[in-house]
Amino acid sequence: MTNEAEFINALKDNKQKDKAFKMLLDTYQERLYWHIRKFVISHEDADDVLQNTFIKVYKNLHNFKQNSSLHTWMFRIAYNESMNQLYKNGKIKFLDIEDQNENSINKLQADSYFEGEEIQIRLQEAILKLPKKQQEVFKMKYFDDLKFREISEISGVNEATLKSAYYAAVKSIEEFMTRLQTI
Amino acid sequence: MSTNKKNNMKFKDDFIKSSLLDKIKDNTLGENHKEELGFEIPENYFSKSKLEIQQKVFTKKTGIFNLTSKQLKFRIPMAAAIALLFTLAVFKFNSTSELKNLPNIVLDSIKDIQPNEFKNHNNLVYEDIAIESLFINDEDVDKYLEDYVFESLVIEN
Repeated sequence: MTNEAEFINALKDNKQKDKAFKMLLDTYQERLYWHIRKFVISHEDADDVLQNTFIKVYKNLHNFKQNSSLHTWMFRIAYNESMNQLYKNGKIKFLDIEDQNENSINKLQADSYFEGEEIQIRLQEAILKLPKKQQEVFKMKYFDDLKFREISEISGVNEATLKSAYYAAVKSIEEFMTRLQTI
Repeated sequence: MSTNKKNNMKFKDDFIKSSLLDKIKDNTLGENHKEELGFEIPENYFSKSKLEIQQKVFTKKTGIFNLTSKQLKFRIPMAAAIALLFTLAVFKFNSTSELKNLPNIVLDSIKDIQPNEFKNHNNLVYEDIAIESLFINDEDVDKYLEDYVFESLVIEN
Protein backbone atom coordinates (compact mmCIF):
# COMPACT_ATOMS: atom_id res chain seq x y z
CA MET A 1 0.00 0.00 0.00
CA THR A 2 2.56 2.54 -1.15
CA ASN A 3 0.17 4.91 -2.83
CA GLU A 4 -1.16 7.50 -0.39
CA ALA A 5 -4.52 7.74 -2.15
CA GLU A 6 -5.00 3.98 -1.79
CA PHE A 7 -4.04 4.15 1.84
CA ILE A 8 -6.50 6.97 2.50
CA ASN A 9 -9.23 4.98 0.79
CA ALA A 10 -8.42 2.06 3.09
CA LEU A 11 -8.66 4.40 6.09
CA LYS A 12 -12.09 5.52 4.98
CA ASP A 13 -13.34 2.04 4.16
CA ASN A 14 -15.17 0.48 7.13
CA LYS A 15 -13.82 -2.99 6.36
CA GLN A 16 -10.18 -1.94 6.12
CA LYS A 17 -10.25 1.04 8.47
CA ASP A 18 -8.98 -0.62 11.65
CA LYS A 19 -6.08 -2.37 9.97
CA ALA A 20 -5.09 0.77 8.09
CA PHE A 21 -5.34 2.82 11.27
CA LYS A 22 -2.92 0.47 13.03
CA MET A 23 -0.48 1.01 10.17
CA LEU A 24 -0.96 4.74 10.51
CA LEU A 25 -0.25 4.49 14.23
CA ASP A 26 2.91 2.48 13.59
CA THR A 27 4.14 5.01 11.08
CA TYR A 28 3.32 8.28 12.80
CA GLN A 29 3.21 7.63 16.53
CA GLU A 30 6.82 8.42 17.24
CA ARG A 31 7.12 11.35 14.86
CA LEU A 32 3.99 12.99 16.24
CA TYR A 33 5.06 12.34 19.82
CA TRP A 34 8.30 14.27 19.34
CA HIS A 35 6.51 16.99 17.42
CA ILE A 36 4.10 17.43 20.34
CA ARG A 37 6.67 17.02 23.09
CA LYS A 38 8.66 20.04 21.91
CA PHE A 39 5.61 22.24 22.30
CA VAL A 40 4.16 20.96 25.56
CA ILE A 41 7.55 20.03 27.12
CA SER A 42 6.38 17.52 29.75
CA HIS A 43 6.02 13.84 28.91
CA GLU A 44 2.61 13.56 30.61
CA ASP A 45 1.14 16.39 28.56
CA ALA A 46 2.71 14.98 25.39
CA ASP A 47 1.17 11.59 26.10
CA ASP A 48 -2.32 13.09 26.57
CA VAL A 49 -2.00 15.22 23.46
CA LEU A 50 -0.75 12.29 21.39
CA GLN A 51 -3.75 10.17 22.39
CA ASN A 52 -6.18 13.00 21.67
CA THR A 53 -4.51 13.55 18.31
CA PHE A 54 -4.98 9.96 17.19
CA ILE A 55 -8.55 9.85 18.49
CA LYS A 56 -9.32 13.00 16.47
CA VAL A 57 -7.59 11.58 13.41
CA TYR A 58 -9.67 8.40 13.63
CA LYS A 59 -12.93 10.26 14.18
CA ASN A 60 -12.32 12.73 11.37
CA LEU A 61 -10.88 10.49 8.68
CA HIS A 62 -14.15 10.63 6.77
CA ASN A 63 -13.88 14.45 6.71
CA PHE A 64 -10.34 14.45 5.31
CA LYS A 65 -10.68 16.16 1.93
CA GLN A 66 -7.11 15.49 0.76
CA ASN A 67 -6.42 19.18 0.20
CA SER A 68 -3.11 18.53 1.92
CA SER A 69 -1.11 15.35 2.38
CA LEU A 70 -2.15 12.95 5.12
CA HIS A 71 1.21 13.65 6.75
CA THR A 72 0.57 17.41 6.92
CA TRP A 73 -3.03 16.93 8.04
CA MET A 74 -1.93 14.80 10.98
CA PHE A 75 0.78 17.23 11.96
CA ARG A 76 -1.78 20.03 11.85
CA ILE A 77 -4.08 18.16 14.22
CA ALA A 78 -1.15 17.44 16.55
CA TYR A 79 -0.09 21.09 16.40
CA ASN A 80 -3.62 22.33 17.19
CA GLU A 81 -3.96 19.88 20.05
CA SER A 82 -0.60 21.00 21.43
CA MET A 83 -1.66 24.65 21.27
CA ASN A 84 -4.91 23.76 23.05
CA GLN A 85 -2.94 22.03 25.78
CA LEU A 86 -0.64 25.04 26.19
CA TYR A 87 -3.65 27.32 26.29
CA LYS A 88 -5.27 25.17 28.97
CA ASN A 89 -2.06 25.08 31.02
CA GLY A 90 -1.64 28.86 30.75
CA LYS A 91 -5.29 29.53 31.40
CA ILE A 92 -5.37 27.42 34.50
CA LYS A 93 -2.37 29.25 35.93
CA PHE A 94 -3.30 32.69 34.50
CA LEU A 95 0.19 33.22 33.09
CA ASP A 96 1.37 35.72 30.48
CA ILE A 97 3.80 34.64 27.74
CA GLU A 98 7.00 35.38 29.70
CA ASP A 99 5.72 33.63 32.77
CA GLN A 100 4.61 30.71 30.62
CA ASN A 101 8.13 30.39 29.22
CA GLU A 102 9.61 30.55 32.70
CA ASN A 103 7.05 28.02 33.79
CA SER A 104 8.01 25.76 30.87
CA ILE A 105 11.68 25.82 31.89
CA ASN A 106 10.76 24.99 35.50
CA LYS A 107 8.42 22.26 34.29
CA LEU A 108 11.15 20.86 32.09
CA GLN A 109 13.67 20.68 34.93
CA ALA A 110 11.08 19.13 37.23
CA ASP A 111 10.02 16.56 34.61
CA SER A 112 11.24 13.11 35.58
CA TYR A 113 11.62 12.34 31.87
CA PHE A 114 14.05 15.16 31.23
CA GLU A 115 17.68 14.21 31.59
CA GLY A 116 19.27 17.19 29.98
CA GLU A 117 22.64 18.53 30.87
CA GLU A 118 23.46 22.22 31.11
CA ILE A 119 23.80 22.65 27.34
CA GLN A 120 20.36 21.13 26.69
CA ILE A 121 18.72 23.29 29.32
CA ARG A 122 20.38 26.34 27.77
CA LEU A 123 19.14 25.41 24.30
CA GLN A 124 15.61 24.95 25.63
CA GLU A 125 15.93 28.29 27.37
CA ALA A 126 17.16 29.94 24.17
CA ILE A 127 14.21 28.52 22.25
CA LEU A 128 11.71 29.53 24.91
CA LYS A 129 13.02 33.11 24.89
CA LEU A 130 12.01 33.45 21.23
CA PRO A 131 8.71 35.02 20.20
CA LYS A 132 5.98 32.38 19.97
CA LYS A 133 5.88 32.13 16.16
CA GLN A 134 9.67 31.90 15.95
CA GLN A 135 9.63 29.10 18.51
CA GLU A 136 7.06 27.18 16.52
CA VAL A 137 8.77 27.49 13.16
CA PHE A 138 12.18 26.71 14.63
CA LYS A 139 10.92 23.54 16.29
CA MET A 140 9.11 22.33 13.20
CA LYS A 141 11.90 23.18 10.77
CA TYR A 142 14.97 22.24 12.74
CA PHE A 143 13.80 19.26 14.75
CA ASP A 144 10.93 17.85 12.67
CA ASP A 145 12.67 18.68 9.41
CA LEU A 146 9.42 19.82 7.84
CA LYS A 147 9.38 21.89 4.66
CA PHE A 148 8.32 25.53 4.87
CA ARG A 149 5.34 24.68 2.69
CA GLU A 150 4.28 22.01 5.16
CA ILE A 151 4.81 24.30 8.17
CA SER A 152 2.72 26.89 6.40
CA GLU A 153 -0.13 24.41 5.98
CA ILE A 154 0.17 23.27 9.58
CA SER A 155 0.37 26.66 11.25
CA GLY A 156 -1.58 28.77 8.77
CA VAL A 157 1.27 31.30 8.42
CA ASN A 158 2.56 32.15 4.93
CA GLU A 159 5.89 30.77 3.79
CA ALA A 160 7.70 34.12 3.49
CA THR A 161 6.85 35.02 7.08
CA LEU A 162 7.93 31.59 8.23
CA LYS A 163 11.28 31.83 6.48
CA SER A 164 12.12 35.19 8.01
CA ALA A 165 10.89 34.00 11.42
CA TYR A 166 13.06 30.88 11.16
CA TYR A 167 16.23 32.73 10.30
CA ALA A 168 15.57 35.33 12.97
CA ALA A 169 15.17 32.44 15.42
CA VAL A 170 18.41 30.82 14.29
CA LYS A 171 20.23 34.15 14.70
CA SER A 172 18.83 34.71 18.20
CA ILE A 173 19.72 31.21 19.34
CA GLU A 174 23.19 31.49 17.87
CA GLU A 175 23.77 34.76 19.69
CA PHE A 176 22.36 33.43 22.93
CA MET A 177 24.55 30.35 22.87
CA THR A 178 27.66 32.26 21.79
CA ARG A 179 27.13 34.70 24.63
CA LEU A 180 26.91 31.81 27.07
CA GLN A 181 30.14 30.30 25.78
CA THR A 182 32.02 33.54 26.30
CA ILE A 183 30.81 33.98 29.90
CA MET B 1 22.32 38.47 -3.89
CA SER B 2 19.69 35.93 -3.19
CA THR B 3 22.26 33.17 -3.57
CA ASN B 4 24.53 34.80 -1.03
CA LYS B 5 21.64 35.22 1.32
CA LYS B 6 20.67 31.62 0.81
CA ASN B 7 24.24 30.46 1.42
CA ASN B 8 24.41 32.56 4.52
CA MET B 9 21.20 30.97 5.78
CA LYS B 10 22.51 27.54 4.93
CA PHE B 11 25.61 28.28 6.91
CA LYS B 12 23.57 29.21 9.98
CA ASP B 13 21.44 26.12 9.62
CA ASP B 14 24.57 23.98 9.43
CA PHE B 15 26.08 25.88 12.28
CA ILE B 16 23.28 24.80 14.59
CA LYS B 17 23.43 21.24 13.38
CA SER B 18 27.18 20.86 13.58
CA SER B 19 28.81 23.18 16.03
CA LEU B 20 26.21 24.77 18.24
CA LEU B 21 25.55 21.72 20.29
CA ASP B 22 28.14 19.34 18.93
CA LYS B 23 26.02 16.60 20.35
CA ILE B 24 24.44 14.88 17.39
CA LYS B 25 25.67 11.33 17.18
CA ASP B 26 22.68 9.75 15.55
CA ASN B 27 20.39 11.61 13.24
CA THR B 28 17.31 9.51 13.92
CA LEU B 29 14.33 11.42 15.18
CA GLY B 30 14.15 10.15 18.75
CA GLU B 31 17.88 10.35 19.28
CA ASN B 32 17.89 13.84 17.89
CA HIS B 33 15.39 14.98 20.49
CA LYS B 34 17.05 13.09 23.30
CA GLU B 35 20.52 14.30 22.50
CA GLU B 36 19.73 17.90 21.79
CA LEU B 37 16.82 18.60 24.05
CA GLY B 38 17.40 16.10 26.84
CA PHE B 39 13.94 14.58 26.50
CA GLU B 40 13.51 11.07 27.83
CA ILE B 41 10.55 8.71 27.69
CA PRO B 42 9.47 5.83 29.95
CA GLU B 43 10.64 2.35 29.01
CA ASN B 44 8.49 0.72 26.30
CA TYR B 45 6.46 3.90 26.14
CA PHE B 46 5.59 3.67 22.45
CA SER B 47 4.35 0.09 22.55
CA LYS B 48 2.23 0.77 25.67
CA SER B 49 0.89 4.00 24.23
CA LYS B 50 0.01 2.23 20.98
CA LEU B 51 -2.15 -0.26 22.87
CA GLU B 52 -3.83 2.49 24.89
CA ILE B 53 -4.65 4.46 21.77
CA GLN B 54 -6.05 1.39 20.02
CA GLN B 55 -8.15 0.54 23.07
CA LYS B 56 -9.55 4.07 23.27
CA VAL B 57 -10.22 4.37 19.57
CA PHE B 58 -11.74 0.95 19.02
CA THR B 59 -13.74 0.98 22.29
CA LYS B 60 -15.23 4.35 21.47
CA LYS B 61 -16.12 3.09 18.06
CA THR B 62 -18.14 0.15 19.40
CA GLY B 63 -20.21 2.61 21.44
CA ILE B 64 -21.41 4.37 18.32
CA PHE B 65 -24.80 3.27 17.01
CA ASN B 66 -24.81 3.29 13.25
CA LEU B 67 -27.92 5.17 12.27
CA THR B 68 -27.38 4.49 8.61
CA SER B 69 -27.48 0.75 9.13
CA LYS B 70 -29.93 -1.10 6.93
CA GLN B 71 -30.84 -3.23 9.92
CA LEU B 72 -32.37 -0.14 11.45
CA LYS B 73 -35.19 -0.33 8.91
CA PHE B 74 -36.30 -3.56 10.54
CA ARG B 75 -35.36 -2.76 14.11
CA ILE B 76 -37.54 0.33 14.52
CA PRO B 77 -40.84 -1.27 13.35
CA MET B 78 -39.99 -4.41 15.33
CA ALA B 79 -39.35 -2.39 18.50
CA ALA B 80 -42.55 -0.42 17.97
CA ALA B 81 -44.56 -3.64 17.46
CA ILE B 82 -43.11 -5.20 20.60
CA ALA B 83 -43.84 -2.06 22.64
CA LEU B 84 -47.42 -1.98 21.38
CA LEU B 85 -48.02 -5.64 22.01
CA PHE B 86 -46.45 -5.41 25.43
CA THR B 87 -48.88 -2.63 26.35
CA LEU B 88 -51.80 -4.65 25.00
CA ALA B 89 -50.62 -7.71 26.83
CA VAL B 90 -50.50 -5.92 30.17
CA PHE B 91 -54.07 -4.66 29.82
CA LYS B 92 -55.46 -7.79 28.27
CA PHE B 93 -53.87 -9.94 30.94
CA ASN B 94 -56.59 -8.85 33.37
CA SER B 95 -59.20 -11.00 31.62
CA THR B 96 -57.10 -14.16 31.55
CA SER B 97 -55.15 -14.15 34.79
CA GLU B 98 -56.36 -15.96 37.86
CA LEU B 99 -57.16 -13.85 40.86
CA LYS B 100 -56.44 -16.64 43.30
CA ASN B 101 -52.79 -16.48 42.39
CA LEU B 102 -52.52 -12.93 43.65
CA PRO B 103 -51.10 -12.23 47.10
CA ASN B 104 -53.60 -11.91 50.01
CA ILE B 105 -53.21 -8.20 50.37
CA VAL B 106 -54.40 -7.71 46.80
CA LEU B 107 -57.30 -10.16 47.18
CA ASP B 108 -58.45 -8.34 50.34
CA SER B 109 -58.45 -5.04 48.50
CA ILE B 110 -60.46 -6.48 45.67
CA LYS B 111 -63.01 -8.10 48.08
CA ASP B 112 -63.48 -4.72 49.76
CA ILE B 113 -64.38 -3.18 46.46
CA GLN B 114 -66.68 -5.98 45.25
CA PRO B 115 -69.96 -4.80 46.95
CA ASN B 116 -69.74 -1.60 44.91
CA GLU B 117 -68.82 -3.46 41.78
CA PHE B 118 -71.68 -2.19 39.62
CA LYS B 119 -71.65 1.29 41.00
CA ASN B 120 -67.98 1.83 40.45
CA HIS B 121 -67.54 -0.56 37.58
CA ASN B 122 -65.13 1.63 35.62
CA ASN B 123 -62.98 2.45 38.63
CA LEU B 124 -62.84 -1.19 39.66
CA VAL B 125 -61.69 -2.31 36.26
CA TYR B 126 -58.88 0.20 36.06
CA GLU B 127 -57.80 -0.21 39.68
CA ASP B 128 -57.90 -3.93 39.24
CA ILE B 129 -55.78 -3.72 36.11
CA ALA B 130 -53.35 -1.35 37.73
CA ILE B 131 -52.88 -3.53 40.81
CA GLU B 132 -52.71 -6.73 38.88
CA SER B 133 -50.18 -5.41 36.39
CA LEU B 134 -47.76 -4.91 39.25
CA PHE B 135 -47.72 -8.63 39.93
CA ILE B 136 -47.29 -9.97 36.45
CA ASN B 137 -44.11 -11.97 36.23
CA ASP B 138 -41.57 -11.05 33.59
CA GLU B 139 -41.52 -14.69 32.53
CA ASP B 140 -45.27 -14.58 31.80
CA VAL B 141 -44.80 -11.47 29.69
CA ASP B 142 -41.88 -13.03 27.84
CA LYS B 143 -43.82 -16.23 27.25
CA TYR B 144 -46.82 -14.29 26.01
CA LEU B 145 -44.66 -12.25 23.68
CA GLU B 146 -42.93 -15.33 22.36
CA ASP B 147 -46.16 -17.26 21.88
CA TYR B 148 -48.23 -14.44 20.52
CA VAL B 149 -45.86 -11.98 18.88
CA PHE B 150 -43.45 -14.30 17.20
CA GLU B 151 -45.74 -17.21 16.42
CA SER B 152 -49.00 -15.45 15.72
CA LEU B 153 -47.75 -12.26 14.15
CA VAL B 154 -44.24 -12.62 12.82
CA ILE B 155 -44.46 -16.17 11.50
CA GLU B 156 -48.03 -15.92 10.19
CA ASN B 157 -47.30 -12.67 8.38
